Amino acid sequence: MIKETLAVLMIILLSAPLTSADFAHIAVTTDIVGKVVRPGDTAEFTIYLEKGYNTTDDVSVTLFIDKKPDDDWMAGFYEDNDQVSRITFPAGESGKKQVTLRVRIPENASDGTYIIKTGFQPYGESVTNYEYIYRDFVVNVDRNAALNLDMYADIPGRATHPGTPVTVGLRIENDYDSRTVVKLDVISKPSEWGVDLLSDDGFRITKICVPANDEKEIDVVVCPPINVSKGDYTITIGAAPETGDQYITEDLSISINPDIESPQGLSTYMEIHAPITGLEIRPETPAEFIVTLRSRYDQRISLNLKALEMPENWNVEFLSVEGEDVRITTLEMPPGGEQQLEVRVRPTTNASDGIYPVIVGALLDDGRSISQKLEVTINEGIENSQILSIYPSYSEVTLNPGSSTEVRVNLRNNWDEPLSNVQLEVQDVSGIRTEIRSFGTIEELEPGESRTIPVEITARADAGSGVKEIFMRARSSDIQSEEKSIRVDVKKSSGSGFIGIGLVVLAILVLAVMIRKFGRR
Amino acid sequence: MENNIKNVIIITQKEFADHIWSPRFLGFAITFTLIVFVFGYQRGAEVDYLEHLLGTDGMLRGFLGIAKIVGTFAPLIGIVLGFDTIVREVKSSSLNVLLTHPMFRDNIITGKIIGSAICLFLILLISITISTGTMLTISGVSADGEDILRIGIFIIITFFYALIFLGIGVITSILVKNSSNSLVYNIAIWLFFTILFSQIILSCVYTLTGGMEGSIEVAVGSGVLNLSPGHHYAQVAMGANNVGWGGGLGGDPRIAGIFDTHFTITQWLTEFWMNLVVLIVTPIILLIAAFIAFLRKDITR
Repeated sequence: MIKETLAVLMIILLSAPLTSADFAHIAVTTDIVGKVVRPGDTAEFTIYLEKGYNTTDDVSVTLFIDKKPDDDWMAGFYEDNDQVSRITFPAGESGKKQVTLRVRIPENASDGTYIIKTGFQPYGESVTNYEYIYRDFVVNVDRNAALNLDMYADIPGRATHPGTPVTVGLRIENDYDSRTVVKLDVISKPSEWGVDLLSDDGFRITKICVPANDEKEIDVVVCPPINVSKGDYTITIGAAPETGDQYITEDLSISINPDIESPQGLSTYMEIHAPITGLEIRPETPAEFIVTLRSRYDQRISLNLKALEMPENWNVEFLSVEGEDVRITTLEMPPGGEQQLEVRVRPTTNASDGIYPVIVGALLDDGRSISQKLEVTINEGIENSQILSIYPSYSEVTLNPGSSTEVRVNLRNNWDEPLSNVQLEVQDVSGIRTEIRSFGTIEELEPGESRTIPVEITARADAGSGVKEIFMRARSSDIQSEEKSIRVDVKKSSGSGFIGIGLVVLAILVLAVMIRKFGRR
Repeated sequence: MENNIKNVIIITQKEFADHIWSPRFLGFAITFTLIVFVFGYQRGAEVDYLEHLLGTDGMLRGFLGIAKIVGTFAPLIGIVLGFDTIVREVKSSSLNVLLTHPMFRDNIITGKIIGSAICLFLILLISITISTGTMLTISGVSADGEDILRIGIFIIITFFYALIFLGIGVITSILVKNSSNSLVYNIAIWLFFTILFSQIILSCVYTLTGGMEGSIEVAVGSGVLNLSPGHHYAQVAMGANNVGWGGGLGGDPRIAGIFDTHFTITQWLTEFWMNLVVLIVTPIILLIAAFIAFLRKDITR
């Protein structure tokens, strides 16, 4: 009995290591193992690799293509778009990893069923079973298989006026597992009609690359001729993989109706844009905007530049960005051209505080226009942003009649460009005489530069007592500074009055004494 | 010696009293004071004109204006005081009576000159002081101690200038036989040296050189103008060539006289000390000449 028990125990103990070899270290699972493709397509199959029962040791696995139809066929394993040949499962971890088998079918592959045989070989310290694991994937090549592309228009039917272009948005959807270059073509259109396929940034396109399982949008601009007759017309747009000839198509229906109102906007083919549409200025300072015009026309067009709306007596100028002194009234835009302009809005100097809209536009000869709204905020309270500023050394002085003092006025250019012919202007006030003690004007005041001009203020001898205010401002061509004032307090010298009376009394006393003393005859 | 001084003082006092109570002299003195006052006030108010042209400040602007008037008319006071000083006494025979007392000729001429000089100084002092005081009171123009000092110096300069004509008047009154002639001669001298001198010199230069250009420079450079007391007075008071016609032309002085506040009094003194010496020495020489002439004069009618 004892012998029998020991024999059973020995069998049990010896059988344990032998039985462990029966479990695989790596499990390879798949879900889809067969796909229908077209020559030139890429078929992708998802493979899941899972670490087996042993989680204490690391286990690696070698992936390889064991068999493929011929050398023209390309096949490989990919993880996160990187081609891989080995994968390691670290020690102490269990889990599942996903790799993709990507198979590129040659263009010349004939229709039929093809098998790609893949192999997986685990290895590692604890791996004792080096047997291969094989998985087969089937590819059915069928030239008549449906494309994994889709194309549809947002608004497939539009009505327009003869000669007036319309734009239709078109989405191209790639349902392939890989990115696909799609060639685009106008399959059919009425004769003499213009059809352009434009990317979202306005360029003409013939091909577009669509990421895997994603979509792209293009614009189809349809320009019917001026003399087209009333009716419905169809334009067919086709999309096909770059390497294939099978197209998917989308029909766009354009209804021509001369009775509908012609749209005035040029926005289909022209774009006007200002990055900054609002400026706050003082009334004496012009507001300067940069406006960009962009043409999508195939031909050269002539545009008239105008202020379509502005406050009364304001002035709007269109200037070249390159040379500020060049004023532009008409612009020739080349096909697909872009032009930057400076729009200088000059308010009236007596404009009160507030927000004033100014609409500038580009007009074609037929009256169609595109416009941009600009806003000018007038704020007389702006101090720090003054282009030209003045700072008198005193804001108040006291003078006796006939006396004078010197005030130093500091002129500063706060702009980022030099100012020319800068001069100080001082307003005349009754009883006060001012004299600017410098010669002529300052020829040029550099950005950030300041100059000091001495101004002599003299109270006339016959000036009456009281406070008088002298106003001054600096001016440089069309730019002027804010107005500053100096209060002049004219005070008659009481001391001088007493001295005068004293002198008169003294003279009379001297005369009286002299007459009394020496006047006796 | 004590008697001599006492006699001189008595004569001085009586001469002074005779002048200040003389209707003729009083009328002239009041007129002169009014002229000084009116011109002073008017010019003081013409701030822009005077400041631009003359570059002075404060109340002294007014005095630049009146310096020309005073320079023209102050000699007349000297003439009025001096033209009949001796001839009047001779004509009335009072001189002979006077000399019967223990009184000598030198006492008489000294006392008369001093009395007239004091009277002359008093008139200038009173007229200019009253004008200054009134200007200050009315206008409120500020004045400091230096301004008052400059006015005081101006009064003294004017006194010496007028004293020259007083000396001329006294000499004339000693030399001529009656007051009318003395007055005519004095007026002629005044007209020539004060009013016409510059113009005559300029005309001469113009005639000789044949062109107006440079005439003033030639006239000034020749030194002929130094013969005129008015030239020296105009130099120290206004920085001009003369007080009369043509006097304001040319002569671009560095310092525009005693009222040019751009320069200190010391600078003014340095610039014009020669003219000052002439103004002070000339009346002294004239008065000495008058003194000698009177001692040698035949005082019979």
